[in-house]
Amino acid sequence: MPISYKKTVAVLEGHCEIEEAETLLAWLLEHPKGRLNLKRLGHPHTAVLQIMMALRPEVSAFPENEEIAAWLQPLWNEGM
Amino acid sequence: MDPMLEAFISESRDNLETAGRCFLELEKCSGDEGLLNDLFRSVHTIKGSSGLFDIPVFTKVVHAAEDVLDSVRSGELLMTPEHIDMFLDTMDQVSVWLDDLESTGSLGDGAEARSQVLVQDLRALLSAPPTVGSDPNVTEPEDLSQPQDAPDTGGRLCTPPGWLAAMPDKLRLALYARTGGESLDILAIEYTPDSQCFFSGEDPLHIVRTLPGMVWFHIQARDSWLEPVEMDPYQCNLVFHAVAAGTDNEIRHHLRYVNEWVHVMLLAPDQLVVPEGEFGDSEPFETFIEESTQLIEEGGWRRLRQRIHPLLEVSEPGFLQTSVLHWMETLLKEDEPNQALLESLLETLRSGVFQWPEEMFDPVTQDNTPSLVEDGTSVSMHELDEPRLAAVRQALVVQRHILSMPCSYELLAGRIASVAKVVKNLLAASESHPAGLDAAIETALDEKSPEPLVAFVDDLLSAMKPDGKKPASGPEDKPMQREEVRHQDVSGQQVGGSDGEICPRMGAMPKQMSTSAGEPPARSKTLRVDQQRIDALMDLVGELVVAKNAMPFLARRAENDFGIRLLAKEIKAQYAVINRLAEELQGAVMQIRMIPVSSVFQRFPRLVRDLSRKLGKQIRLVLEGEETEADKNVVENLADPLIHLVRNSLDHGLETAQERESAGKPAEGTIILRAISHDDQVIIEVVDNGRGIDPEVIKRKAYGKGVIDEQRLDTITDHEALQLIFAAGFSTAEEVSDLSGRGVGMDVVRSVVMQAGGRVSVESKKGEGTTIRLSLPLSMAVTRVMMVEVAGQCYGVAMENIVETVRVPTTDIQRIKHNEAVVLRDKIIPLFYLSKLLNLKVNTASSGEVAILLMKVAGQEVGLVIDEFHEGLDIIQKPLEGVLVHYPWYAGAALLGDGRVLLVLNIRELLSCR
Amino acid sequence: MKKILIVDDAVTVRMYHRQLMESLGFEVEEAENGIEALEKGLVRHFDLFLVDVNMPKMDGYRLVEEMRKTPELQAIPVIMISTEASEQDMEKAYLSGANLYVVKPANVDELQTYAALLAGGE
Repeated sequence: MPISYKKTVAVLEGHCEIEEAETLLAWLLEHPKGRLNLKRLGHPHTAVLQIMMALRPEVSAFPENEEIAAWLQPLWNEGM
Repeated sequence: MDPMLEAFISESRDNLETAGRCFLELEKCSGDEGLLNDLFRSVHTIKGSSGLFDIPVFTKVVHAAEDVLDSVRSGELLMTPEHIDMFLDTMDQVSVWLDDLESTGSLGDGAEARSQVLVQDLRALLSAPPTVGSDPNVTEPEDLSQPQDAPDTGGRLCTPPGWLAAMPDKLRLALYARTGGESLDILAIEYTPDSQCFFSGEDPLHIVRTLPGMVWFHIQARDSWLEPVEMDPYQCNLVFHAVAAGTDNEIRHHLRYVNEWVHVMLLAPDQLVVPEGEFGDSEPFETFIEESTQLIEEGGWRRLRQRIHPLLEVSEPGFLQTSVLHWMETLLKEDEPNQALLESLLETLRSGVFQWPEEMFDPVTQDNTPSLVEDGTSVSMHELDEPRLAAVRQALVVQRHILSMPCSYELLAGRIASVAKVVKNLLAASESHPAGLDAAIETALDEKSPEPLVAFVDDLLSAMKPDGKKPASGPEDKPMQREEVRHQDVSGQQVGGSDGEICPRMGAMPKQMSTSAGEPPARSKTLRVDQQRIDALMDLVGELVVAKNAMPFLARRAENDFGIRLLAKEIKAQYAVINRLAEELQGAVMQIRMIPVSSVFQRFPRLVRDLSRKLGKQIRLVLEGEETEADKNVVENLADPLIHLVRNSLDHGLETAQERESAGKPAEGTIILRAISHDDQVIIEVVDNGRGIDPEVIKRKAYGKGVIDEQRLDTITDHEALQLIFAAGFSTAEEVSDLSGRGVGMDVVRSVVMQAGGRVSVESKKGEGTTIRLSLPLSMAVTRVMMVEVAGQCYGVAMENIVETVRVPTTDIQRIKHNEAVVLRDKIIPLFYLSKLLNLKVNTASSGEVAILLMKVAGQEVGLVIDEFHEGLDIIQKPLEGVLVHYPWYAGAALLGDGRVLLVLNIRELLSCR
Repeated sequence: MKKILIVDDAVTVRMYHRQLMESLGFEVEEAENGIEALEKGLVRHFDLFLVDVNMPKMDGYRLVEEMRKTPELQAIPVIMISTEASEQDMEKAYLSGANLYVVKPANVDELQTYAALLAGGE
């Protein structure tokens, strides 16, 4: 399971395919304070990324992978 | 009279006659493509030849006529009797002009006015709304993509996009430094995916992340985000901006499937210069500004550099001034710094505002690195002082471009050879003889890969750069794009277990692994390894496999040459162990690279569901064999062609529910996506039960498009005709629609599959459906062959073709007419003598028994008579080189453990040319 | 002396190109279409082919493809000359195996320069 949902944290791991987008959106709507753990994120499908960009939930851990962190992290720092 | 003009007049009269006859016949049978082609060609020839003379008035008229005919030929315009009248009038006028030319040498009075009227009338036909009763959106998508591409050609001369400033200064500085040492195309890419793109299986982020030479990218929302509750997760609302550095071609190739949504701009290194930061206190810089103005004017670069250095040490990061100084420092590393740009930067120190010098976008100063993008078509030598040298350079650029184009295997050798020849001639003409050309050519031909030549030409080109840029200090490390190979070690699924059993490649794995309820979730331990390391491992395994083949020879020598039978036995026993280990090792390494095709297949259910809704069709998708595994590269290569094929089926293959019902078929159409592993191939089939392809239509189209000639048209079989849909340039207007008409034809599918070493074929029955089959190598496997001996020579025969080996008494051989055959298990097996097939001396010494290799060739069992069987061997088969390339009955060659070369036979070819 | 084969269905164009090539000191032969060109090419050696695109029987693209598949002809440089100036047409020429693409009527100097360079001297 690329996204596992805990009480207040959704953990995104590996490749998160398009199928995950809808559930992630639903979870975030249900948990407005929900946080994302992106530590082991490999590749989010564009649709998944979009959800993150639109809702900008709090992130508990940014990706370890430097390549991903390099473009993902700035999305939280700038006006999207 | 000038003999050439004379020839032109007489040739054009002939062509006019042909044209006139064609017009009249067309009136009778308007759709005849052969006639239209003859007609077009005759007018085309008149136009082409007239261009050689100074009669532009004449040329314009014929040109207009040609354009109209072209659109008739492509089906955009329907020829009416009125059109034909007009054409005949035009031809009459042309004929009169020819007479005038003959008698007076010029076109006579009033020609200009008459020409204008005719051109206007002819062109009016083109602007009229399409008269063909076809779907109005038929040609639309491709046409739309044209203007989008158009601005690219002038890329370099445009002002760089504003978003470039968002790229961190550091990255731009580093990229700029790289341009000194490498020949790099820097491309600014703006990618605005279609909002519906997810439905066609696209993952724009993935496309951007995997851009060759990716340096930096940035993502933005296209429109401001809706309230979360209203958000549609399946609408793409993003814009990607990216900067990539590599070769223009490679980058464009990567984007070929989305080119409608992409705007690419080629950047000059200087366009990267955008200082950034907060404008700080300018007081500390006043002296510097004063002194530098003078230095820049005089070209005192060294002294300027010396001033910048200490200043930079005390400047703090984050300020505009600091950034400006960094840029100045970088620009000054050039042999001939861009003076205007330095002045602009200095101005920024003064005012806090940066503006590019105006002359930077003037074509003359920009045109210092010719590139294909920049001057678009073919060859031109404008505004270069040394025309000959420039021509050499331009021709080299073209050869480099050719090498980077996709190529079918059968054309590859020719492409390499001809480009090599051209490069050689170019160098000879420019009297330079750089070392390494012959070596590069040789390796390229040996390896059947253009890469060595590409490298050579690149070196040449960078050495020939007109501005003589020297490589800068150390080239930066390229941003490493780590390819991940995942090795999932999930409960019980292991690679090469201790009992020596290697996991089966397909089928046996329990599929519900990840979904099985009740069990604790399988923890997947993932190890990320650089793909290069695995490739290196694979190479080593390959060498090991070859090295172990030496042991049987060693055993034989021990026995025969040294007479130590016991040692021979022991070596053989050891060999068996090493052999097994090598095989396991090989399997294990390949297993690491294997991933199931489901990773590609899983995109399709959604794609099919959404597209069929959009199309108003009822379609069921069936996935079969998703667990089939293949090498990671192979699976990844599959994605794009498969999407195209499925779209094609949805779009053209399957009918609407009504159409189906009226044809007596169930309303719901089916698409089966099936993966099968078959020997060393993975076969992917896209099967639909739609309307099928009519081979007659294909034949006609292919002929009309010049894909096949008349002779071929008569002899071509239906099956062969179907395969023509993969021919380059074959896509019928009827096949273009808004879903798959993206300028990507079946030829692209074919070339992608061929590049991956695979094949593609199509089967179709009109009214019943179409099956497209892709066969791809499972991996770069080691081939198992059997050694056979004939006339004292050993050859290899691929094990997969061999059914069994038998010996039969010569008396069992029966003669049927001129052929010999033998009956085995109630089947008549035709016999062929390998010695005869290979034109070798026939072994006459009859032992009363013959050795027969029973083989399955092209679905038929045949017996190959040989002198002796030998052992089976694992070999790494290499393609043939040198003169042997021309003998198709050799599949390849391999090095044996004792250093001999074993030729591997292609039995199928051998039998077909007997 | 370098030998050049001019392949074009138009007499006038062949004549014109012949003049240009002969003035460079090349020996010239002509062919009217792709099939004739292949036949001539297999009989004697040429240093360069100048090939028109639109021809009856076998067009320029097919000719060059056949050449690239034929061991005896595959290394011979080819300049393709066409009236079409679009990038697509040019790419198609390169894909089929041409080494240069020149839009006709070609600039005389340009065509002569490139012919001389690709044929390997004058």
